[in-house]
Amino acid sequence: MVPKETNIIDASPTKDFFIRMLVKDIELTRAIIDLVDNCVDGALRTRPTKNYEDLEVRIEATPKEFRIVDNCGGIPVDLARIYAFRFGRPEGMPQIPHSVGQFGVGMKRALFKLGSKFTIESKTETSRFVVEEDVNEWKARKEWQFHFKELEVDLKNVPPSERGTKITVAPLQESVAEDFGLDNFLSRLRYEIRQAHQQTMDRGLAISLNGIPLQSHPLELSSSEELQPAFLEKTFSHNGGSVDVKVYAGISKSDPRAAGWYIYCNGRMIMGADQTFTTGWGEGGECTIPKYHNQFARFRGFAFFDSDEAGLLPWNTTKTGVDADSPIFRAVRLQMLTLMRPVIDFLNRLDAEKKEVEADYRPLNDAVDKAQPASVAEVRTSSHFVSPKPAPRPTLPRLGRITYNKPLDKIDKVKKALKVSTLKDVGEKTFDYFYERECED
Amino acid sequence: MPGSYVSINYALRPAKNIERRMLCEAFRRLLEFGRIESYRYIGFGSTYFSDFSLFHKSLRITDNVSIERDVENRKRFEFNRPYNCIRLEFGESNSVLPRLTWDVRTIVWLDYDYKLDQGVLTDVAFVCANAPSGSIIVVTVDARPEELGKRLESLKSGVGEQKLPQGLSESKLGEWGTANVCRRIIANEIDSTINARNGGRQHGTRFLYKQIFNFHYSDTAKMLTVGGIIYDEGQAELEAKCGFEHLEFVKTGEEPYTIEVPSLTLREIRHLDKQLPCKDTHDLDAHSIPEKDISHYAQIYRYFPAFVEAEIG
Repeated sequence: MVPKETNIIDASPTKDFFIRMLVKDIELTRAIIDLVDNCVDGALRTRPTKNYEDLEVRIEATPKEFRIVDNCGGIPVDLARIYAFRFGRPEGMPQIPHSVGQFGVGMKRALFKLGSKFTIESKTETSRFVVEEDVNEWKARKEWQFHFKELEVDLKNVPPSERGTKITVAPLQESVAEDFGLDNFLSRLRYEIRQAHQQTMDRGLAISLNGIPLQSHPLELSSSEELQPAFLEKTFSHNGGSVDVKVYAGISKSDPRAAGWYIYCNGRMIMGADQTFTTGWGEGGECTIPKYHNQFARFRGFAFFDSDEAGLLPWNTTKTGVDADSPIFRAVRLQMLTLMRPVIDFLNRLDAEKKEVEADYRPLNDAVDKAQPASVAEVRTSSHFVSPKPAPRPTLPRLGRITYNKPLDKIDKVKKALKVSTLKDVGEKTFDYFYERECED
Repeated sequence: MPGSYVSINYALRPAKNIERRMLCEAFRRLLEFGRIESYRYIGFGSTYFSDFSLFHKSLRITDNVSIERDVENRKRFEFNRPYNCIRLEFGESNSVLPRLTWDVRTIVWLDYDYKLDQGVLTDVAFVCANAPSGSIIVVTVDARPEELGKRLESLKSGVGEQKLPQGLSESKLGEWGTANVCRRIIANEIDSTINARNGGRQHGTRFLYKQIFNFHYSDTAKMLTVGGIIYDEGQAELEAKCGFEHLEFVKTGEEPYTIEVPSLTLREIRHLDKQLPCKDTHDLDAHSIPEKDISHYAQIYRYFPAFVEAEIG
């Protein structure tokens, strides 16, 4: 028998290891988007109707300091005490329906990634708290708790405009400070936030980075009588919960960088312009769907997964891709292939038509030109991608060319008589004149 | 590219003819799921439309789609369309299948006149991903073995290496071996598609596939027909009530049903018909007909086509 006290093998994680593992897997831009996710969840808590007018998120990223401020309702004290600072989502935590925070790592991971000292100030309708922590000091301590620096409960009538959260991180990690000094990093951050939270911004949430508001570009698909995107709606029941899925496949502006599939979980984009096997490209040895190629630069597909229980959604923990093993995603992917194939066939026909020599008959290209962009929420759809059927080419009369020379003064007289200015018109009109009188029945 | 319809009159291939009638007999049993005439039939009608004619006449199916890849000869196919209720869809089956609506129970017969390849599996997957409960998928492929030394390579280039079963060898692909392996590959494709389709479906509402056909026959080339029913677990009882197993040609596993066509004269046929059905073919008055032919005939006499040379018009 091993004596009890020597029977124990210590497997508890060191904080240092834990932090390093946590921040390793995520890009800086993504970590910041995780903080925006928390603001969005706050907005959802205060406005379950998802109308986010007047709510805003302001991000300041400078080499000295990072700051994110919102007026999205704040973090209730109990939520902070029991759940928000835990690593991992504790069981029994009340779910916010349709929330984007799921894994219980986002905020902490972002804070560790950004810098060595952070302050969180939050104010709700009835409470207020401040948490301030020096990460290095915290690492040195044995226990895992954080502490409220200030705490007030039972406040009365905090006006809505003051209800919100403010997170400040300073000093920043060296590489983070460097990134925040780079214009192209900030542009990328701006682009990625806009992509990830397109839907939320469409619902009225204003997001700004260093004082400049982010523009929302609604998701669009081309639509007309002749061209209609495919649409499918389905509800999956799984582990006692359900996931609502909406899938659109169609065409839009030709843009090789924007072409592909976009996957959203509870309104948050987790994959954009995907052109890989994950979303079907190259499926079935390219028989089902070819690999992405620039002739498909017009292809756009959108798959929206929504659930009261964020845990059922097919996202990975960094929200940068789908969990391809998710049974629901596998089922939806099968449907994506079916919806996508007719669009791919159409784009192949469109491409073939473009390459044809006779330039005067291009019904498919005409149809594409005539179609108007329409926002995904309002676009007229069909259960299948609607496109012009391959029509037999109208048989044009065979043409011959006539050329002849005549004295210029005579030509000028004819021009005047016909009221035309070009030689071509002179030839054609005089021919028509003769034909009408002498040849037509 | 002209199809095999140029060289072969489909109606005159006796084994194929028997197979068609057997399929028809099995389809009749689908009525547990709904009226047969409410089913849709999708096939490759070619210029003969033999399957369409039979299913329309025997099962009263009026929603028919014939997929035809030979767009160039559109007019000829339209001219040969025997009934008004057959819609022609021109294009490759890979393109046509996903653009059809799949809200009706459907019988699909993917009757290829070529060998198993990835394009076939793509069609199989499209059907299995979309067909509603109570639908039937049937796949026919040319299952002639390649010459020794080229069998593995040819199959690999056709369907891709990752779709080949483990432990395959040239010798396992001889005779009917190619057909057996093709059946496995098709069954795998069906199962994996149905599995994916079941993602996010609760127990009790998942889709199942049950093989009911595994025909081997040879009019000129060795052919394989494999197929079965796709149904919802919740409708398992209906599937059981269909009683496909009671049909002697139904095969739910690896063992095939081989359609052997006896060579008999009309006079011999009439002679045997008078004595059929019977419990033991040994009790029959065989006259001078070989015993083997009698036993084959006794198995398939209800499906046996009679050909008479005739000049019409």
